[in-house]
Order: sequence, then structure tokens, then C-alpha cells
Amino acid sequence: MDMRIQVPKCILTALNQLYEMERKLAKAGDAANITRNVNKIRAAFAEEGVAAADISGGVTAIRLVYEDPMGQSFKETRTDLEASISGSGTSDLVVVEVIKPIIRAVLRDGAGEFSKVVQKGIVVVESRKEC
Amino acid sequence: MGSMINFGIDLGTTNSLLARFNKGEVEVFKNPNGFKETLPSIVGFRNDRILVGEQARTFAEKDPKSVVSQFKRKMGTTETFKIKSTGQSKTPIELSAFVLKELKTFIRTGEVPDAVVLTIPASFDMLQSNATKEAGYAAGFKQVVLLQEPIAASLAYANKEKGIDLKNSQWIVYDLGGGTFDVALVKIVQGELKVVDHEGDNYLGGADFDALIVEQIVVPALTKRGQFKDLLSQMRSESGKHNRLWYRLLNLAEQAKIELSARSSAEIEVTVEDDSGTTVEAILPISRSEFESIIKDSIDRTAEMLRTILTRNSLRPQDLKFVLMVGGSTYSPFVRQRIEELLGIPVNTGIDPTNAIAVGAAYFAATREVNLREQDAKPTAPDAIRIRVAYNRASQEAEEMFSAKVEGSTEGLFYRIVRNDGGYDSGLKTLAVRIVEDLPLQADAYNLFSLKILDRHNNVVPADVDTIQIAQGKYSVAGQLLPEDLALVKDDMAGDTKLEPIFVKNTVLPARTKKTVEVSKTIVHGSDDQIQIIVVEGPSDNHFTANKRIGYLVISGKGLKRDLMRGTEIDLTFEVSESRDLTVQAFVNPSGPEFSQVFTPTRRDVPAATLAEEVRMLGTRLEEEKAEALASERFEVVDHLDKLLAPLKELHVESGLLAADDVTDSRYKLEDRKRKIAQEMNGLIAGKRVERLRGEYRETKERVTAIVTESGNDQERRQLHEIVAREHTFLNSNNPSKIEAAVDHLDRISFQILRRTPDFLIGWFQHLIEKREMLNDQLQAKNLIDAGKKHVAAEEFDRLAEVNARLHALLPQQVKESEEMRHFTGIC
Repeated sequence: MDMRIQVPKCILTALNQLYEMERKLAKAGDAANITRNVNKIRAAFAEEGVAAADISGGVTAIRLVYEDPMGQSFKETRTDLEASISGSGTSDLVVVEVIKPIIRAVLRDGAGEFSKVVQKGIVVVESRKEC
Repeated sequence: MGSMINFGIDLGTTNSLLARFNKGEVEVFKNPNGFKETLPSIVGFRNDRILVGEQARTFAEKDPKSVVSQFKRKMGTTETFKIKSTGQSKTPIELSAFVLKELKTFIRTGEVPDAVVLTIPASFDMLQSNATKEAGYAAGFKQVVLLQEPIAASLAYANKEKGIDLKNSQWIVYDLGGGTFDVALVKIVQGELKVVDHEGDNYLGGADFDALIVEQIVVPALTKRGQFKDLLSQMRSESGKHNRLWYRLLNLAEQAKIELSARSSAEIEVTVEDDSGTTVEAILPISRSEFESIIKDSIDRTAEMLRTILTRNSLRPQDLKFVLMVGGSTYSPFVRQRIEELLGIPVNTGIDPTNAIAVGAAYFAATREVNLREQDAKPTAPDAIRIRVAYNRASQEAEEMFSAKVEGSTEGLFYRIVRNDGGYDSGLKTLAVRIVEDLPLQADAYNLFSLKILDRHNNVVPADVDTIQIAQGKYSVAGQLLPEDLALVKDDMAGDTKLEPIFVKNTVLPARTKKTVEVSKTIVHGSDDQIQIIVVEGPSDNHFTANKRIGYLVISGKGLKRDLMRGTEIDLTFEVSESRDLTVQAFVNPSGPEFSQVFTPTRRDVPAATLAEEVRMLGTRLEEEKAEALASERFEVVDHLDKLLAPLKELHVESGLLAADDVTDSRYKLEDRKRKIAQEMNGLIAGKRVERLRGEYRETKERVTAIVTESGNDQERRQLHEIVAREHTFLNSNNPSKIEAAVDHLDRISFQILRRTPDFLIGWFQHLIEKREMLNDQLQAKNLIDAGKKHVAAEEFDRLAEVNARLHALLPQQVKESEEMRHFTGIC
């Protein structure tokens, strides 16, 4: 299935900002009680979706979810991450910084749900031995 | 005349692109993986696989002994690159061929071009040019035509600005890319475009500017805010304490740089621990002028090279028609201004600086005929390969081993496994009798991989296995998947109900999700009013009465401490366990009570009163459908519907008699009977609603198009155009709610326009005057009406709109809501 989905940049920007907000909330606490609002915006993207796609088996909404790759291991075969390697080791790499999360579009066709990476995560990785 | 080459490739030092000419237009193909038009010209040999592009770039600096970049600079030399991981040496030609082969995978149309136009810098001599041709042949092209990059850029421009006359003129192509700078003087000599002179710097480009931002702006600012000892060297050194920060800042600097092309300022936000262990949080503003001052010297240097060309060719700036800007770094307004200012030559930014060279190459390719040698024209299909695979189809691991045995000749063949969601690519690997590969799996999902066998030109060789499918999730091999959609019943605007999917068929269990709904009618505390949260199982495009009800939660006025106002949001959490127990939790915001109930598939919950109401609704629908069928003379349908009447009446009586606390299984039997009738009815009228809506859509479209053409603004025209452009998707979807949504959207557009028209505003005003007796504040109403009349006389329609809105606000609540939906569930 060679399907290419492109999501408008403004939507990806909004999701990246949302991800940052979540991280800041987790780190600094939620004095203004906005976690719920953040969760709702995220849920709106994840459940309602942003646009319709015409694929075999009917029309479906493009739902968007993001994934935090922090702590995941990195290999050269991963194509959902754009990594910079910090330190000198290049084996047994693990994500130590996330600049942008991985964003996936989730769609549904006759056979069920499937997803496509629409934004690669931008990360810094480091050899586990150095961490 | 034979066919044309049509394919053009910009084989760049840092990035490469591929474009195709088709019926007058050029399309630049995108990487199926990540959607960028550009492919980094980098080849890596990691372990036993060959990686090209982004994946290789990651390792380019860290493992230079197995990853090669910038090999274009060595084209035509005898220099080779020793690859540490394979122990072999690769020539610049071989490495360029890998990039070209990878670009072939960008061609989404599935074509396999035999001929191609490749671009080369103006500075390339005969040896370098021949080496580039060789690379093209090594990548499987049978005909390679070369084109100088400044010519390609000029062609892209000339094709874009078709009216322009370039005869008897000369111009400069200024190409400042990610890592290299080239400048060339181009002119038309005897009707042909020629590069007359050129200059360049192989180590100047956008990446240098990113580093300058970090070094000259970010580091000094951080040093002021925290205690750092020699921060810059600690960042740049591999073993430095702040090495991670260097890469993070380079990324952020690049983003800021891009932002500064469009705005006058950007910010870099960074949190870092200083040497004393204190966290330094900084938002560092960067103004465009700051950025400009740090790149000024570099840009001035490029201007110097340009000036050298002018001097060498005894030209004055006014002899040049323009300076054509190419390369990503020329997006910066400063680069454009500075060159214009220093040389007094108008700068031309008429083409997309990133892909202009590839686009120009494709235009050129469209004028060159394919001319293959006889023996090359007949492709010989290799024998099909047989593959016997062994792997777990269901896994709970993060990785699963895939192994396969290959039958047939594997000589000169490669394989490549790619995960369809774009998260994994094995790279190109030599095919042997056995394939063993660890495949990483996306959690809780069906992982589909494509397995391709490729020949040495990256063309696909037929094989009997091309897909690998592994389900990852917390379930046994027997597979706990949801057999049917689970959907929530909600009120819709048309006075009926609609289904909103909660979990779709084949969701891996256990699963959990949240939905927020709105209360569509006020529930007074202590009253009998209630909200029903109904979950049904079955296709979510059915009417809910045709699906099996599996969960039911009631929020009653009796259980509330205060009124639940219309519009209040309720957060619902749905959870389905592995054994398919459904738990529904309702949480009323902001600090309201919580309701929760667990349903099991074996304990269906069918309250007697709801059942009776549903049967009544079904009866009403049946009567309506029958009337409609009669009116449209579909007598066969009428007959069939009639046959359903008797059993439905029986059901009506029986369900009415059912006591609320009936302990027998009667309610379940009755519910089953109701469902069967509903299913039959839906079967009879399926398609009819869609057909009616299609008609309605067409009528609405015609009406709204007329209104938009007459009085719509740009935005409304665009909205209409967007709906019409995708109409085939919803009209063919057989999903009534999608068509309804489009009709609704069209209506909104027309209403938006009409609302601005004087006729509408006056009409609405008259309507509100007729209702004056019932307005809540008579004194205010009188003042408003007087004011409104004055506005009508003076034709002040904006002011009239304000008066209308204020009058409308004075209408009693009940009247305002008269258009409200009918409530069944009480949520929407």
C-alpha cells in the first residue's frame, strides 16, 4: 500500500506545541489547572481527526496522534526518527532528548485501522553506555 | 518521433531531487519516507546493510569510516572511500549510483525510467562529467544526458515566466545551498543557453549559518544566564559535558533561521543544567537584524565572487538582466537584499530555490528523445524467486525475528523490507539463500511490511511473497480482537440519533478511550429527567436500533445535587477488557459527580422503559418510511414495510406491559425481536436516504454556487471549491451523515453570505418586530426597534445587524430553542 498523507504544517506545529505543553506541565506542575484542556485538544486530534481522506473502502477521517520516543532505542533502520548522535559511541543508541515527537496519522479502511508516520521525531540519541 | 526522456535529477553535493515532466507540468517526487522532496546525498554501510539519505546522515559524522557524504566533490578522481564495516572500497561513481537508485524509489507512478537527465555543476570538467554519466549507467539508466545546473535553474525560470524574453541578455545564477555555493554567468549564444563563467566555494551554506547562530548568539546568552566553563568547547567536543546540547541547539537554530525568513524575530527556548547544577531556563529572542549581522561576512564573500566574474568578463552590473536566486539559503530576505545592494543588480526570486534545478532538468528532459541501443530496449525479466517464510504472525515483543529461505538464483540480487507506516526500513541488503531480520513492531497494531527483491539497478524482481504481517499486542495467538464496532448513541440535529464509533472493529483488546459529549437538554436535579448513555455493538453506519445494545448508563435528575445545564460537557471513559467486559464511566465537569458501570456481554442491560420507547420510535420511523415510499410510488417497499407492522404492533403491546422489575428474560427476547425488525426495515430503505441526500446536495450546491458567484468573498469561494472538489468522496461513500455534513456546510456558507445582504437583515428585523410582544425587556426592545428603523432608513446595515442580534437575545428562552433537536439520549 503506497499511500502518502500530507498534513498541513500548521496542524503539525499545533501538535508539536501541545507536546511541549504536556512536557512542561509534567515537569513544572499544573498551577493553572490546564492539563484537562491540553488533554482535550490532544483527544480532539486523536479522535475526531482533521480532514477526510478518500481511500479504498470508503472515506475516513485522518486522526492524528503523537508518540514520545524518549528512552526508546535507536537503530539505523528506524525511519520514524531523525537523530543526531551525541557522544562518541554509535552502538546501542537510546533517545535522550526529544525536540519534536513522532506524529502519526491514523486512518481506517475496509480491513481496519492503520497508521502512517507524518512527522518524524527529531531527537538526540546517545550510546547507552555513555548515558 | 519517439518518447521523451521526461525524468530529471538534481544530483547535488548535499541533497538530490528527482522530477518528472508530464503534459506540460513538472512534478517533483517526494520521498515515500518522510515526504521530503530532498534526499541527502549520503550513503552508509552499517552492519551488512546499505543506507541512503536521512538514515545514513545520522551516522555521517560519527562513523565517517562507514558512511560517506560529499562524494560529489571527488567525482572524476581516482580517490576511493574505504568502507570500514565492509572492508571494501567504494568509488564516488558507485556511491552516486546508490543515491540515484534510491531516488528511483520516489517515483510513485511505478514507472521505471530507462533514460534520465542528470545535472552537474558549471565547474565540472570532462572527467567529472563522464564520471557522472557512469554513475547514471551504474544505477541502471540506459541513456544519460547531462545538463549544467545554472542552465537547469534558468530553464526552470524561463518555463515559469513564459512571457519573458531572454534573447540578447545575460544573467547570473546565484546558488547558495545547504553546504555549497556556486555562482555562474549564463547567456544566450546563438540561440543556446551557455554558462560563460563561474566561481564557487565548496564549504559555504545554510548549515554554517545554523552553527553561527549557536556560536555567536545562543552560547553568549546562555553563558550570561548560568555558570558555564567554556560552554562552546564542551558542546562541540564528543566527550564534552554538553555535547547533546550542541545537536539540540543546531536543530533549534535551523528552525529559528527558517522562521526569520518570514518574520522579523524568532525565539530559541532552551532548558539546560549549568556547571553548578542549577537549571537555566531561557527563551532567547533572535531578531532578523542579529541574524543578518552574523551571516553578513559570508554573504559579502559570495558577492565578491560574483564581482570577480563581472570584472573577468568586463561587465558592468547594468549589463546583467538579473541575478537568479537558487538554493535553500536564498530564502533569507537578507541574502537577496545584500546582493542587490552590493551589486546594484535586481534579484530574481521567481522560482522555488529548493527544487529549481530538478524542475529545470525535467523541462530539459521533455525536449530530449529517448534513444536506446537496440539490445537495451528489451528488458529481460529475471526468473521469479520463490520464498519460504517463517515468523510469528502474532507477537507480544517489541521485535520479531523474520526468517526466510530463498529458492532460485540470488546472484546480483538484493532485498529490502519496509514497514508500511514508515517507521522501519531495513536498507538494501544482499540477497542470499537465507534472510534473517529483526523486525521492530509498532505496539498494539497490525504491522504490515513489504518485502521487495531488487536487481542491481533497484528494479523489482517478482517473488511469491511480498508482504509480512505481524499483529503486536497484549493478547494470545488466538487473537482477542473486537469483532464489531462499538458505538455511542447520540442525538443528531435532524431529530433522530446517530452513532459515534468508540472502538472500531478489530481493535486489539484490552482497549480504553475517552469521549467528551455535551448535554443537549437541561436536567433539573431531583426530577425524572435523564441522560442515557447507550453503547451498541455493530456497524457504526447503521441506525442504532439495528445494532445490539450492550451497555447502558443513566444519569438521572434524582441522582444529581444540582441542575445539569444544557451545554455542560461530560467526559466519558470507555474500557473494554480482554474478556470483553465494557466499563463506562461518566464524569461531569468541572467537579461534578462520577457515574460508573461495568457491563459484561453475558449480562445485557435492557431497561423496560427504554425498550418501550425504542419500540415506539421504531413504529414512528416505520410509518414515516411507509408514507415516503407511498409518495414515491415504491409499492414493493410499501408492501414489505406493511408486513413488518403486525409484528411491531405485537412488540409494542408486549414491551408496554413489561414491568420495570421483570426478572425473566422476556426483555432480552423482546429486544432481539425489535432488533430484527429494525434490521429488516433498514435493509428495505437502505440507499433511499442516501439517494435523497444526493439530490439535496445537488440542489443545495446549485443554489449556493449562484449565491457565492454573486456575492461570495475569496474565503467563501475557496470553501465552496473545496467541498465541490471532494464531492465524489462523500457522494460515493454511502454514508448519509457525510453527505449531510456537506449539505450543512454549504448551507452555512450561503447563510454567512446572506447574513450580510440588506434584504436578509431587513427581513430578519421585520420578523423580530412581529415578535415584539414576547420580548423580555419591552423598554429596551422599543429603543432597539426605533434604532433599527433609523438604520434601515439610513441604510446602515452593519448597525442593523447589531440591533438584530440584541433583539434576538431578548426572545424568551423557549422560542430561541424552538428549533432545537428532539432529545432521545440527551447527549450530542
